[in-house]
Amino acid sequence: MQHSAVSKLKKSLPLWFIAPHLIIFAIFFIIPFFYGIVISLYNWNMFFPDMREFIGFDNFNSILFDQDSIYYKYFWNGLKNTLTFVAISVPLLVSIPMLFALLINVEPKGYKVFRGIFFMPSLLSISTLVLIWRWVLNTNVGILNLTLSEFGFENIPWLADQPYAWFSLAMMTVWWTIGANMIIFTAALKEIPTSLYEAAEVAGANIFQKFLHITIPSLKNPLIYITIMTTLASFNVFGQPQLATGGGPTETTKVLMMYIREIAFGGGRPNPGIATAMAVCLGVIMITISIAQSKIIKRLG
Amino acid sequence: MAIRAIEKKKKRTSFIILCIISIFWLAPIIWVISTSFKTEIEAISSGFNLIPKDFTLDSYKFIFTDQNNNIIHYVKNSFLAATAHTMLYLLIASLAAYGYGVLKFKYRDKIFWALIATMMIPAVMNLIPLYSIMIKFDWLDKMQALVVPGLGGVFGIFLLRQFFLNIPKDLIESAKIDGANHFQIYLKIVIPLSKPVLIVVALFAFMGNWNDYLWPLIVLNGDTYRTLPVGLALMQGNYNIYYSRLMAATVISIIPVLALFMAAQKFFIKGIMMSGIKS
Amino acid sequence: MKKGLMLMLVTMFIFSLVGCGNDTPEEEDYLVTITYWNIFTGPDGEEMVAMVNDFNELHDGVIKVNTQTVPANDFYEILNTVVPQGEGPDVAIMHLDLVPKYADLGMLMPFDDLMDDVEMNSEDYIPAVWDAGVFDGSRYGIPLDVHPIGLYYNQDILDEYGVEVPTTYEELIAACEILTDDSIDQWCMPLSTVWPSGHLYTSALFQNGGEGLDSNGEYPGFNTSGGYDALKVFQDLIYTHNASPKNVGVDEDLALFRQGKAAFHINGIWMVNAIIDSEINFGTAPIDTLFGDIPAVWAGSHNFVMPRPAKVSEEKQSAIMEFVKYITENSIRWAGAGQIPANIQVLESDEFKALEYISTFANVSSLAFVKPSPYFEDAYTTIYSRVTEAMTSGTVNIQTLLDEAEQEGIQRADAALGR
Repeated sequence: MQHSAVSKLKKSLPLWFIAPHLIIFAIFFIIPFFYGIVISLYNWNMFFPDMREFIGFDNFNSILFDQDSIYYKYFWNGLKNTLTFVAISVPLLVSIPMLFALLINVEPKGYKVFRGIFFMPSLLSISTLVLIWRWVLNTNVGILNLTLSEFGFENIPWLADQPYAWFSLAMMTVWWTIGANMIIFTAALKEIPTSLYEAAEVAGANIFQKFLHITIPSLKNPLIYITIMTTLASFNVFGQPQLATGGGPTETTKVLMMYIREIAFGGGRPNPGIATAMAVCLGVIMITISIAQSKIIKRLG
Repeated sequence: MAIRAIEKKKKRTSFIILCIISIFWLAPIIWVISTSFKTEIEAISSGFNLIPKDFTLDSYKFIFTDQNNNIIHYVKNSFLAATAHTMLYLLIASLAAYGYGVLKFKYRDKIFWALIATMMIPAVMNLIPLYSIMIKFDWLDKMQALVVPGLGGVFGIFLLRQFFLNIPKDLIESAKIDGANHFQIYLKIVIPLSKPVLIVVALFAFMGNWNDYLWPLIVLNGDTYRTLPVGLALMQGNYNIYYSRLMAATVISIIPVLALFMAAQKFFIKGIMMSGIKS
Repeated sequence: MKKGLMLMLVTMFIFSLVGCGNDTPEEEDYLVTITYWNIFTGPDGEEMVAMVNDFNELHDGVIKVNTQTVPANDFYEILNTVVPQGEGPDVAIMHLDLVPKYADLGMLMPFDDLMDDVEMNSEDYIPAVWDAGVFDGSRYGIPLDVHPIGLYYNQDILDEYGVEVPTTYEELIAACEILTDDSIDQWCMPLSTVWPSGHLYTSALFQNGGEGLDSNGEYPGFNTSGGYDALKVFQDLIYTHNASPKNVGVDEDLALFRQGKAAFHINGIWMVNAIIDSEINFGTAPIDTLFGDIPAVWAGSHNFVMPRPAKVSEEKQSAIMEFVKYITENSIRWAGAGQIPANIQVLESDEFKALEYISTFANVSSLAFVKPSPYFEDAYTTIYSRVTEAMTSGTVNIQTLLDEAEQEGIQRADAALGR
């Protein structure tokens, strides 16, 4: 009798540890995940359940194929802009931290201070980031244009015209987010045995050959990790264009996340069904790309 | 000898390059600080002056007394939400990590890796349904909406479990022989041993919550619980033409983060290394 | 120590759930309490709060108005959330453009039956703005103010060059020939390519005989010769007449004027205090024939509306009317914050006429409002981004822009109409 009670308790013991998390995870992750798929199949009214109408794949049809629908225009323009941001920012967000890590790995005087300086911006919130950069990039009185004008350049409208707007968004993103990637690279560089380099030097390799044939292959794992994480983060871009350019000039930096938020929650005419369908499409694209990336990089390695 | 010289030269070159980059890296913040101490008229006058001609604290005085945008209130809200979230997450995540890392039960690893696999699913897919759930719970414009949904996060559990796996089995076994149950082992042995990784998880949880912009923007309606990132973004709209005030607000928003960074730099770096080296 | 941690954790959590003690005043002392949401931040926000306090003092013990400021950026988003749940305010401020839309969505209550009680008369208000508050035969908005755009001019620059304040397009172009001087970074009239360029376009549209919406108020109406001429004005000003630097961002036009580098600046009347703060020697003038022959200038208006609540008592309704009437009739303080009162008695008072810069800002008779329509936002505002395109490129085809804006406006209206 007592024995069975004890064993029952023992059996249920792991539940006591994992259940609190699992319950919260189910309520705030699993349920929304499936709920979202349901919403995307409805003409959804956020507040009045009796006004909801099942419409099958109509939302997906509108955004993906119906050229007469405004949502078609929004989705493809948003996707194009998001992809542009990914294409510009990911190479920078992988290569620049690697460069910084290489410099820091030499361990010059005060390298920890440098590492701190480069890392610190990544702790700032997006609003702080944009306030700083809008002031730096101000056309008339920003420090960047003031500096350039000392060298005789004309004022550049950093946020109001293309291609400067993309350049500015990429620049502030680099400043903001390279810290973590840099630290991961630095840690990985430390793991490379110096004997490898010494052997290469004996064989007469120059610095670029060493980088290409020793450093890069040794960094394969962190490279995969960083590329995938950075790509996913870049697909989620929202705050920088939302607060710095407002999607302009002429909606050329209005990324998909901005459309999704605006259509779902904006002050216009909310259409959560359409917005959720867009989110599902974006999600599918992100999952596909990250799987493809890891496969490609693995094959190359 | 020659190698030594090369080494030295390398270090010096690297030092010089890093110095130059650092100037560029710090310039934006220095410019912001400089503007915040200028008069408004000087702030909008062109001319490259880093040191204010009329050094003034007017902008700060204005920011601290502005009834419409009470920045201290925003900082307080952010701090409360982030602290509550972090505390709860530490408790929930460490319990779960103990379950997946120390205890043994059927399907343990399968469940764990299934959880990890869900990290692939982008958060954007859950955004709108999660909002619907907030309406159902009547959590819109409540502190719970800022604190609770993020507690389902998996990443901290992952970090903690990896650490727990490396705790010597003998320690746990001998405690068992002494008659300790798992709750006692968790509290008396595992948690004290894991302080560094707990700090790392806490920092991630805190910063993630502190800096979140999109979610509080969506679930908060009024000023009551408005957090710093959302409040600052509003100020950008409200003070849009008073640059010195905006920059004073910016400086105020940087200070808490900078203090945290100074205090815990080594844990931040350790944490990122832990998260990156894996996988 | 662990216990301490747990204790701290629990207290932290409870503390955070309870919040940071926003105590509500004891409301039992009043017969009626009204919640009032306004969208005013900055100096006009302070004036509004002061006016509400005056009202409360006057009705001490009877009516109490609790005011909350919701920044304009978030206002409609929040309204969309709270009103359907029956948690909206009793009375709120809304932009006139959007009143028909929210009335059409069933989120507002009409004022009609309530106005007789407090003797509110249509003759007391500027007719154009008063008429625009009606949708489908019912009154949903009561105007507090009108806020047109107008011309700010730098007196010192005009004196130096001996130029008069222009009132027509020809005069403006002639002035720009003289005033723009790249070599000293001085500009005739810097124009922001984004906000508020849309309002400049709307003014030019009316001045050239164009219309915002079609006769049903459902679809865009700007793709006409008037709409074309209006859009051409802004491309020409920048690329032919050198009035403005290229690619000026939001508020950078204002910054140039405040720095004393611009002779003219067009902006809303609400900017007047920001310009006074810059210590520029300036004056104001109407722009009602600056871009075309028909006197007209865009103006917005802040209107009182009653969001549809779950249930409102009769006492509360009359208290709301009492409050609205009081604020509109005492809006002279409000004018000082950079607005033109919608109430004619206030407008004709000596106090208003004595207000420097504000009383000279616009001709009240030529203020123009887009036709009231629930689809204004959907069908009309698509032109705004095309105005930006015309202002950022000297070569883009104006007709193409109008066609694109019209097509997008139709698509958006269709989505809104469920077609």
